[in-house]
Amino acid sequence: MKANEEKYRKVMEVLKKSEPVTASHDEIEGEVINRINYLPEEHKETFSIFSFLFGWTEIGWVRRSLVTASLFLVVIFVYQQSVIVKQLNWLSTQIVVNSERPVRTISSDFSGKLRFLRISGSRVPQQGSPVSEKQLDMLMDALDKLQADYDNLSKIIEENPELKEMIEKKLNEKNYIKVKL
Amino acid sequence: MIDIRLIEECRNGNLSNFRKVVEASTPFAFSVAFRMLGDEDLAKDVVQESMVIIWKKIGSIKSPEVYKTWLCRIVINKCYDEMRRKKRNPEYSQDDASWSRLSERIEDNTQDGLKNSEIAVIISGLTESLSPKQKAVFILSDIEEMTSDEVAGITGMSKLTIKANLYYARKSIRTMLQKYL
Amino acid sequence: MNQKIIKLVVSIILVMIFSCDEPETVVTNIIHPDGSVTRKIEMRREGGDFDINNIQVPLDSTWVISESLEISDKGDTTWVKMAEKLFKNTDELNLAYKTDTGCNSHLKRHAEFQKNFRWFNTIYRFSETVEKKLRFGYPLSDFMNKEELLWYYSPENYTVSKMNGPDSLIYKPISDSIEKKEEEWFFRSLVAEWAGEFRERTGKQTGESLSADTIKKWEDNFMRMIKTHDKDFDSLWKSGFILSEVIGSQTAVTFKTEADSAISVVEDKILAQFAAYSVKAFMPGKLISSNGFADSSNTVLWPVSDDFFLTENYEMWAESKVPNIWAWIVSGVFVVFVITGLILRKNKGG
Repeated sequence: MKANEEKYRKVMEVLKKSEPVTASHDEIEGEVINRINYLPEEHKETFSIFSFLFGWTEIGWVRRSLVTASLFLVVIFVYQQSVIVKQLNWLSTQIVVNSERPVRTISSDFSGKLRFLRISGSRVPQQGSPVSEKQLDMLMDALDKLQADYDNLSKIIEENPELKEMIEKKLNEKNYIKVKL
Repeated sequence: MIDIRLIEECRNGNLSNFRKVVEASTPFAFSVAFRMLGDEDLAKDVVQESMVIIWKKIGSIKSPEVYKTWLCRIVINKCYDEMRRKKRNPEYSQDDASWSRLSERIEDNTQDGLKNSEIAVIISGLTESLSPKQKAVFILSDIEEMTSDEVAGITGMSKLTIKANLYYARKSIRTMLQKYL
Repeated sequence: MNQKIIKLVVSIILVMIFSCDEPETVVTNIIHPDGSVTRKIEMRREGGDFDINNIQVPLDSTWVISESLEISDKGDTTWVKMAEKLFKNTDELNLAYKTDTGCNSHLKRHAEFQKNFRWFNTIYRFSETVEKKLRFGYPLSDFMNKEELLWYYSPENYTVSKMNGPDSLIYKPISDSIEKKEEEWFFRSLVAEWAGEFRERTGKQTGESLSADTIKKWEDNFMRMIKTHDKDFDSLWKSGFILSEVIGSQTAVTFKTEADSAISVVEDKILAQFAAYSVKAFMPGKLISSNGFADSSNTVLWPVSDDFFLTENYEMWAESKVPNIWAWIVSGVFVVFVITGLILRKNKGG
């Protein structure tokens, strides 16, 4: 192991000592100067603009920061859009209603339907009725009021035997039928 | 050694002495490029291209003191490109004579350094199982004798990554040394 | 509700439930991005006079009010009263609820608006809550599953159309099951409320409180009595027979006054009611979520029935989003700028 270490050290010594040399220094210099001289002017201008705009690419931490920032933006964008698309997909599976009018109305509840049934029974089909539910409601209200008035009237008549007798007599005279209240 | 004042002048837009910058930078740049690539022509091309980039961007460096690190970073990055290209068209040949020469040099420390071709064969052989980045870390740390801060500045790796890569590279090279020597 | 239930309701609360003759009412809330709310109320009534006391939502002289008359093909005459007012915010709306003197003034209602900035979108949330009437009642979810709850809260025209549609055989059992469960929930809640009120009254005097098991036992007794004596419930209650059967003869004699007082309180709570009332909300931007029912014009609609807030608060909520175009542009430009920089760097080998 030690021998190996020693061998490594010695090889490194030799390699350090053996610096590669070139006899073509002048050739290299000449070629460089030549290429510089032949660089077009506009390229030099472009270079300076590019250098100004993209100089940051040569600074490691700035380059890494900008790449991280752009990756962050891309990730955020993809995440946000995917969440929104998911939400929209979910929304599209939900019930869609098309109603300009209130969706729960008095006439549609149980009592409304019951009233409709009381009035119309089986004689009037629910669909295509010539009379609307609202008109039936009004009619039903009037009927209720009439019933209440009739009950009150009956009560008054019952409480007054003279009045009862007189009305029975009048009705019998008019209809020629025996009426008993 | 690269004159800081020259770099400062060029940085401030006075590129009249840029030839001197090229002259001073070429040996170091060539040394790194050759050790990385093991090919003289490719290393020359890399140095030329690197110097053209330096001419274009020298105004954007923060301070003249970071010039060497910056130069090395450009060279190393160019080498990565070449190595990627080379990987697609690998051309690699081993030469036993080079290893014999290395053995001789190890035994006799007073001898001159190795020739370019020998350096190429030896470094290529020792680092054949390393990735380009591990190779760069090894060359910069153990052959060019740079500090981990400098290597970090050049390669853009964290100190911890550099340590890990260097550990792996050294272990691999020791194995290769047993194989070849 | 079937006829039997109606009879039972009448029996248990011992009074007729009188409607306060409210007009059919649709309240539409148009929510603006700044949190202001334009509230429109449409009331329809057969008779011409809209008694201010019968109007189910706060309404005063500060509203813009117009009246019109509609005559249908069948000759029905309907008086339509439209009212509109812009509220600066929901606080103003809540103030109107607090100062309401109409027939539903005893109900606690409040609205809430939230605007959340989420960079790419701004999310708006509007909710209106009617607080529960009973303090001791049971949540409906204790009695119904999710599917049944959905059906129960659905607008009546929807459920009726399903019941009369080709799939009526599927929906009939659901509807029947709901009716039974609703009956069970309703009476148990009423009994629990009565028991709760009774416990509070007797507790003050005796210094004791009744256990949950005792209350449960009373409930069961009460339910049994309702089922066995539905026809003569009224007279049996007045005679004290029901009470002694439910809570024991000794307790019934001792706390007769408290029992009557408790039932009186329950009656008052039951009397509070909505009739022919629904709420709509039109949210800014695109609707994304709601517990109401969206209609074709992206408006959300909630039917409001007394039972919905009998034992639980009834919250009507909707969420919408408005995309922040400027944020999209800024983010797009920024990302393109960074990508371009990285590509140029890679191409230059820098």
